[in-house]
Amino acid sequence: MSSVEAAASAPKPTASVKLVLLGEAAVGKSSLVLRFVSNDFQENKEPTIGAAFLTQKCSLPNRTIKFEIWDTAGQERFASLAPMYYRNAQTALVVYDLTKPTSLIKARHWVNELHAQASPKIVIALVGNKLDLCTEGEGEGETSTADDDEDRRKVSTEEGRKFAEEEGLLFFETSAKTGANVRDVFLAIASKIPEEIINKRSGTGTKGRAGAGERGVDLEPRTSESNAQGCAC
Amino acid sequence: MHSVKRVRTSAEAQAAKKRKEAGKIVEYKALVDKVFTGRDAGDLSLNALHLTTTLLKQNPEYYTVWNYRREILVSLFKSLSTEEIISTIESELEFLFSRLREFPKCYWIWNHRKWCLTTSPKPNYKYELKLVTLMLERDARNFHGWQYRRAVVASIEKMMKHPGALDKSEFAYTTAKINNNFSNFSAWHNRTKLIPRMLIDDPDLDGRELLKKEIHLITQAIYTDPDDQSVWLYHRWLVTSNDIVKLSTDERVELLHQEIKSIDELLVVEPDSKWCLHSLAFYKNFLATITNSPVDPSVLEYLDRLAEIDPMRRKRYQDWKAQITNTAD
Amino acid sequence: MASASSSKVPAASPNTPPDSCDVLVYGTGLVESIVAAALAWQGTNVLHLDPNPFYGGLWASLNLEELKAWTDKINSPATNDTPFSNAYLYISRNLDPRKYAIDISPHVLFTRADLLNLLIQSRVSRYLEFKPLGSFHTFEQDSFEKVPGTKEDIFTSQNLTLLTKRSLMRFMKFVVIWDETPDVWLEYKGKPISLFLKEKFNLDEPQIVELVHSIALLSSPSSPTELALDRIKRYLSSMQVYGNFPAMYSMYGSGGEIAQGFCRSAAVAGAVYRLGTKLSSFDDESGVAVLDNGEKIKVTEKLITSYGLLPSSREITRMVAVVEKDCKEWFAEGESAAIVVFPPETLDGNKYAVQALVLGSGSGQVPLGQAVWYLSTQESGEQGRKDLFLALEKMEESILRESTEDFEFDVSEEDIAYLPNGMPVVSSVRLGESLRNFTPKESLKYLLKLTYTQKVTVPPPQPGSKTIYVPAPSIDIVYDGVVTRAQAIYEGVTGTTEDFFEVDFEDEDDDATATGNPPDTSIGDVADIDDEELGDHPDFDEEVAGEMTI
Repeated sequence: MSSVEAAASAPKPTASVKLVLLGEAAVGKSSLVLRFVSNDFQENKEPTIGAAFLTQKCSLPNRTIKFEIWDTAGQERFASLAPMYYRNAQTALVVYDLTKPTSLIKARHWVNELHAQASPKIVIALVGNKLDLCTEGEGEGETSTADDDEDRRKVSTEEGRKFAEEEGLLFFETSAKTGANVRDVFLAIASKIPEEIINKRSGTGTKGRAGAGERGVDLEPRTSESNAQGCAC
Repeated sequence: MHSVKRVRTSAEAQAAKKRKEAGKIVEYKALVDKVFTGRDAGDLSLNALHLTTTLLKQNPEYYTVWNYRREILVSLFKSLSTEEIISTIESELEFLFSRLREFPKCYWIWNHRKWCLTTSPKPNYKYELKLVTLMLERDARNFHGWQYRRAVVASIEKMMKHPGALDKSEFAYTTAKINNNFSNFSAWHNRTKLIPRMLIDDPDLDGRELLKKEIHLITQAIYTDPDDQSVWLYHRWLVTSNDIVKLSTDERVELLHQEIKSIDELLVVEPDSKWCLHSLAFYKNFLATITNSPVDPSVLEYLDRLAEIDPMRRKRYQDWKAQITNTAD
Repeated sequence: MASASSSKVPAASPNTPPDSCDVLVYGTGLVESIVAAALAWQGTNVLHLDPNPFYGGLWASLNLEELKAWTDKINSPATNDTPFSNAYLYISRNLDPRKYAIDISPHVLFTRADLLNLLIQSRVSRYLEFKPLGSFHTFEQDSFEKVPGTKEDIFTSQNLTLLTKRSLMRFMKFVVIWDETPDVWLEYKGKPISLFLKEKFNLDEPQIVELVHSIALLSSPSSPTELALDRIKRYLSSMQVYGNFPAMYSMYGSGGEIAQGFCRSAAVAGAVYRLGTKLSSFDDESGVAVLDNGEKIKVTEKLITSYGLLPSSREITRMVAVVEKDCKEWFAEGESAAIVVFPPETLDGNKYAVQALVLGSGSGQVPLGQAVWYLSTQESGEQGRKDLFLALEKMEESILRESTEDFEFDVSEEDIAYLPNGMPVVSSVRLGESLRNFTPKESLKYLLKLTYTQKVTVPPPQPGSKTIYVPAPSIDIVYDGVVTRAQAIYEGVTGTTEDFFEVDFEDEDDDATATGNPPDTSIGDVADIDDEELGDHPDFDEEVAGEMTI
């Protein structure tokens, strides 16, 4: 395509994808998302995000993926996540804390929950967070923020990767604090989503659109109240 | 009771919004300056094209900028092969479609699209027909859409070297649109263009049958909504036009009597219907003309009532009344 | 970021249950979930419990296992603290229980409704998926006639005379502004709507029946004029808000889904959720709630509860049937739902109307190839069940007739009407006539049948008490009164309704274009237009392709 054409051409197609977060409290799920969405990190953050869901775009070669990231809003604390949470989620992050082995056990539980409640084709990434507290990170050239003789890692990379392979999950170790590998997780997830799921446009999200078959009702622009746009012909 | 807490103060949020908008206005003005400076300097470069794209995205009404854009494209085409021109225009059409989604009623966008079709060495009119079908699905009363549709259909028929090839299917299309919402002047109007051609092209089509069916159809509409101007205008065309069937005077008179009766019945339940009165006056007058007989006195009553109901046009009704009484003398 | 932190219920650590709260909400039904969210956003510490392992309380949408457990519970007086009772349940074997979501209290939403406004204002609508419902049928003379709800329906109807069309239209024009023209109806205030329609608008019996029972969705023709006019207006003015349909339903369940949405909203605002947690007792004096595991919770303001035995005025009867048919013959183009109303006296002398809501697999409640039928009547006891079974029979006959494949009859040009997209359909009158004499060969397979009764409860006013009772789901098929009730409860806690869901959400405008106008996503794509939708065009592909010089 010549540059003349490029100038006139329409933007890359965008597909909306729902992503759900799972994991024990205090593993840093919200921090991970915060890092991805606004490239920010807040120490001692309260264990929930105050927004309904956050969105962030990810640019792939021939399309843009817009993630609609659903936080658990604390409902997982007493096993009270609603079916609505998992519904039509194309992707999921199951997060554990590299410094807490119990959080990996919990992660197994969440993966089972996903198999039971979520769509069979869901793309799951297992994420071991808090890499910054470990002396030898998996990322490139990461300087640990921990004291060199205090490696707080309690879950080996091998263990995590093995679990991921058994269950067919993507695997990453990240640090929401330094940002290490955070973007990679989302890029990898975006690349792995099967084409047909994207084309179905079946994520819920900002527009409340709907599932397979007939079109759902887009609630927010209301015909009788919307103004005429453009020219007053 | 504990204290009430808002999540955010609205004053802060509003102030932030205002600042954002003010910034956008300054940006826009600067862009306009840039574009016109370039144009005045005779800039027909790719960069100039980019600038018009940005500007037109924000304001597609700026028709001089569309003109400028065409000048640029024509100039750029000079150095491109036919294949490249075709594909550039295809991209241009994609761009226009995205603009139409936001501004479906902007004449200049449709206009530029037409230019693209006539300029392209290989226009895809079938795609255009689909596109305009889509736009009319979204808004069946968008008369830009209807105009464009007629132009596309005409182009297709020209390419097929068969004028009227699409008449029947276009007729069915107007039927579908009317059934969906008969308050659609453009759809009825299209019918008035299609029916005569259909009857000429297909000798097997019975004009009288078709007329009968159309009258039945429009009567449903008239009774359903006697306030809808578009249906009365179509009714009038059906009753008085010679382009459907060449009715003999007797047949015409019979038709008029039939329709006058029908409207009279409606008037009984809708005594203040402006269009009933207007049409009765018109048809009775018309009847008098073609039979060379005096105008029925009820017409004068209708005109009096119309002057009451529709005071804005009182003069017109009075003039009409005067015309009738003068001719009678 | 929202300061959700400051409204969090205090706890020693994230996993320790809280031992105090401002408001304890017991039950996750629709009304109390709205209240929970409203309170949480306003800054109240809300602890929200439900004894069931699922959300929705008395409005829940249940999978088949949950449904079985639920019917056991309500059939046993010892465990039943709900207004439901007398359940008879049949479930076919070999069904995958998770593929079903059965509403114990089904509802639909008109597009002009308080609840919808609240859903949008609170943004809970973004958690939900709504589908259109535009087919309303009346059972008359042994067949189901589609109710005319728009000018176009009246225009295209083959069943109405010209003068009837005019009368109906005149009435419709009046009714959409009825409250502004009291001189027309004031003398009929409190009097039966049937009288008003007959005397003031000259409408005939069939039109009156349709208006009262299928459009106003009222059970009796003596319903007061002003009530009926309001409901008719609501139906008609709900058309064209989003498209050619007046009502919608949420996918995967009605009240239960919407309740989930409000609960999530409440959680985001800081409310704490515990399902499967039973309240043993609540001391109104001290405000101490005791759970059945012994935990004690100090409630500083109120207990809001939807469980507990409340005085009732009467009973209604409900029925649910899942059938092995997709029932698409009853649905409008692009829809997966329909409402069917059996007016009084059409089912062997039924005193009250029977209302049926039909949802196809597009609703997410049943798998492909199946449909769920929800029937209800204000009649009680054995008579109620009898009325519902009769209605069920009629529906069964109808769907078997309409969906049978080896059926032939004469079709002429006059029988054909056109759908909005240009596709031809055979006139329903002709179809109705021919089908009336048809005897089906097969019988309908029922995968599930359930009947139960529901009490209409009246929560006793408790001035000065710390306990506020939530009324049971309404027997109406619409969500009327839900928001009003929620607001009343909210006021009972905070003393006002002024700040009810007054929340400033962060604006997400990345979807907006440079002009600030959102792109029109309703237009779809040119690729969505099939060749067939262009109509029966001659094959111009060959001839149109090819070079054309300027």
